[in-house]
Amino acid sequence: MSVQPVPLRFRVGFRRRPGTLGSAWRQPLAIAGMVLAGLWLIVVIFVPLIAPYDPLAQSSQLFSEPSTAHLFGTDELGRDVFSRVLWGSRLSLPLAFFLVVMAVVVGAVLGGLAGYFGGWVDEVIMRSTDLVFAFPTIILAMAVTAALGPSLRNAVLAVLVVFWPSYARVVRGLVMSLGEADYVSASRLLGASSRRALLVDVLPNVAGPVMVLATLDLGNAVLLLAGLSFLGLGAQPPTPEWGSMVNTGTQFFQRWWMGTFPGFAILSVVLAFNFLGDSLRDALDPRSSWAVQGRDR
Amino acid sequence: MSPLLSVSGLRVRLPTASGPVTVVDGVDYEVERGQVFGIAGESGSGKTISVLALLGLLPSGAEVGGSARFDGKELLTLDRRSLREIRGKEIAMVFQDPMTSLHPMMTIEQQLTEHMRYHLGLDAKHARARAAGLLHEVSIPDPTGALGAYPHQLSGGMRQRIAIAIALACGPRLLIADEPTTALDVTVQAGILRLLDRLRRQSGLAVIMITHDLGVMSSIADWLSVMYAGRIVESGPTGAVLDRPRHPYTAGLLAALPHPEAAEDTPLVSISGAPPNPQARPAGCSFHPRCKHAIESCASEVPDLLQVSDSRRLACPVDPLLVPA
Amino acid sequence: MLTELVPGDPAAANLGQRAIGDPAAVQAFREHYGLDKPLPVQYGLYLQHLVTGDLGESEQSHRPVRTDLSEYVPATAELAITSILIAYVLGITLGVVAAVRRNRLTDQLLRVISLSGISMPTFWLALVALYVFFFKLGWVPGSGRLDPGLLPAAHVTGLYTVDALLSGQFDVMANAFHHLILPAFVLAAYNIGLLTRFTRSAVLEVINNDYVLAARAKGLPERTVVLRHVLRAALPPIITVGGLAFANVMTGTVLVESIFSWPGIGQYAFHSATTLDLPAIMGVSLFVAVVYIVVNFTVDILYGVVDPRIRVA
Repeated sequence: MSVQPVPLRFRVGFRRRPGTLGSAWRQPLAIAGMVLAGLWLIVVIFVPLIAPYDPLAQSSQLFSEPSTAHLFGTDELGRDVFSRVLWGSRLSLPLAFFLVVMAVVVGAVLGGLAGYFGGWVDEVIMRSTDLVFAFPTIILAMAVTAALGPSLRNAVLAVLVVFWPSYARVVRGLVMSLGEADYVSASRLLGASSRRALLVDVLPNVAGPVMVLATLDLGNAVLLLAGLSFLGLGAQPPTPEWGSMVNTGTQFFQRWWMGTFPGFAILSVVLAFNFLGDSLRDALDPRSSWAVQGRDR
Repeated sequence: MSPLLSVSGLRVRLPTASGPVTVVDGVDYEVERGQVFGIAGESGSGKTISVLALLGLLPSGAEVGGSARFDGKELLTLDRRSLREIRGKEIAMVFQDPMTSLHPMMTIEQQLTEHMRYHLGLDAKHARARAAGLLHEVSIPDPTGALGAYPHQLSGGMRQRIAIAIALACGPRLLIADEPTTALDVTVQAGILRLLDRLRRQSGLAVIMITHDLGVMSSIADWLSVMYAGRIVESGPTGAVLDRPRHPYTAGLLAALPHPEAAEDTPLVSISGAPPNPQARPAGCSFHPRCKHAIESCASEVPDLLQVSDSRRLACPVDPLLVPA
Repeated sequence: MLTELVPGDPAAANLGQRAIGDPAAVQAFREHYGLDKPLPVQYGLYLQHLVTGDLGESEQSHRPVRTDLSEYVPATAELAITSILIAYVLGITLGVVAAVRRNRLTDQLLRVISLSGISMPTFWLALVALYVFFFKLGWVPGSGRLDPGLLPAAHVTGLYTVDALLSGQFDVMANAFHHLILPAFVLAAYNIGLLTRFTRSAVLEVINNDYVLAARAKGLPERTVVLRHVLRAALPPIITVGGLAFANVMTGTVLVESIFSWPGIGQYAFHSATTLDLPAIMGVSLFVAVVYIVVNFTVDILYGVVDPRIRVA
């Protein structure tokens, strides 16, 4: 009953039932992401129990190569790199979460206001986002951190400045398009107040794209923070921040273990977030769904 | 003379999220040279899939069975290269919506000439001249101007004429038209049908006309096959079938057509129920749940398409002499 | 469209919405610099100078920032252009392959690879690449644009490879290429991942369209169908990403030029930032922003070239 190989052409089935998250988690990618993220979560929580040494403790064993005593070797002040990498997770991960949550909140509020009220509110907010978008991210972040003074706190602020506009735009666009949507009008006709309409009708629809963006931004936040610290504009020594550790690694180039392992940590965390975000997007975006149906032809 | 196209026992199964589904369930027909062969049916009847199968244009994972002999060649087992030789050159296709079947970013000239140059080996200059000629044939007012245009700059009727020109570019012997007028205004439809009719009379082109519109069918098709749930239920000369349908489904379709002379308060007749989903077709005759004349065996035995007179085939065991109400 | 978001820098989601060259945006941009200046007078003077092309003097080099920039820009330009070319060629190819082999092993593999590409810290990649390919394998030189002792060809564009080509000095050209390769690839890594994903989704959007089926029905070989019909229709969003790709490269150069001892504006920006050389920071930011606007503008024009439906009559 079979035929010669046919050119690949799918009539992709129409919308899946929205929110079929169940199937997403079965994908190998999502699982890998969850495992990785889970491992790091364990590290973040239990690092005082796991890390063999105090991350700030200096010793006389400078620049020693990876060994059983020091899994990742030691750095220029004899500190155990492994412990420093583990402790660094307590900076990068929580900060990244904090950043994204704040950016989403700030952006969503501002974007929601802009979309809902329009007029000069919209103008002001939109011009601000234009401003931010006019610069490649790191230039702007750099400028802000340099102006405010290099510290981890200012780096976080800079990243926040750079991240919020995307959410503002997304939310604004959705609010504006949904404002015209029939079911919102229906809800208001039934007497619901504006605020209720906003919360109950608009919010759930906005959540989807925002969630996808946020999950992927988690990775970006880690990268940007690490990047700023790498440039010396973020965390200052002796804080065991991954980016600044790579920076030190660059200075002592031949001691490859000093820069490689912290960088690997960054990579694995961002990878985990991106795996998760990608699987999430697949689950929420019907067009990449797999269902092929023998359509009515 | 042997028929140009002879299809027998054509079956198509498509992969779906819930397993393979038989979309076309045993189809037999012949198309003679110069004939307009109509296939009528609703959505879900499998009419489009059955013709896509002829050209090997089904989604990957599709399974095809049966036979389709075109000019002596068995299409369903042809190798890829030979199939490519036939597509566009011997058998060509016109799709329903020219806004989506023409490439939005290529000029008309490019779309007209690319397969001409591939199949016929023409150089740019000759292909262009031939393209202009084709546009003239399909009554496009300014052929040279149209060549440089993009699809979005032209009207719907013109786009479909161009699609027809594209199909005819390499001189095929069989044209498959899948709902060619459905996406067009009624006023434009007539023009397209007249065009098709003229062209096939001029060149002896055979046409497979797929449509759900019986009015279109009656004006252009010589022979009519009615498809339901993946099978042909009735087939014969168009006039005869539409005048005196012998299958309950055909009769129902005709009865459902509003009559312009009927009294104002004549109720609209429709066939109760809906066409079955290909994944859940009833046992026995697929139409039996909706059929007023169903007998006991209809629920268990699939009626074969039988020759009931020398120009009529019917797949129904019930009293064949039904007249539309 | 919003759900087809680009992983990575979220600015991509909005490139199409932005009014490039919007006078209001540029105006706001100028005002921004005013906010940074402590004194209104300085602000006025700065703007005045800006209009005449004077960007002030670098506190570090004690030269006009403008001179500094003109010295460092060509090096980065060479790197950026090479990097973007590499990214586009590889990214589009891999993206098409992934789309055509959708959900098969190749696609899944490419998915992981492209996700890795956008997950890697560029500065770390530079370090590792340098260590492996220079230090351990010795395949590429470790720093600078040319071997010490080699002089660049007569200055036409400032791009060593191009200049050497123009003056027929093929040995210099080859050497410049040799130095260019590793940094260009490192900078391209993120964009390759980005473009693979973007191309894949753009192609998948298009591949089910009727005109693709119609092209096959014409009997055209599959490769023609994919390249001429599918890819062309998928091109507009892929081009739009160009602006974002450029931004990524700029970000990368800041992080990476010092590692490669590449004397470009990335390194300049880095040093100005760490030494808090305000005029220099301003100058670089301004310059990059202007270039960014120009790039986005070009991208918009290219979009119109590729998709005739949005050309202004």
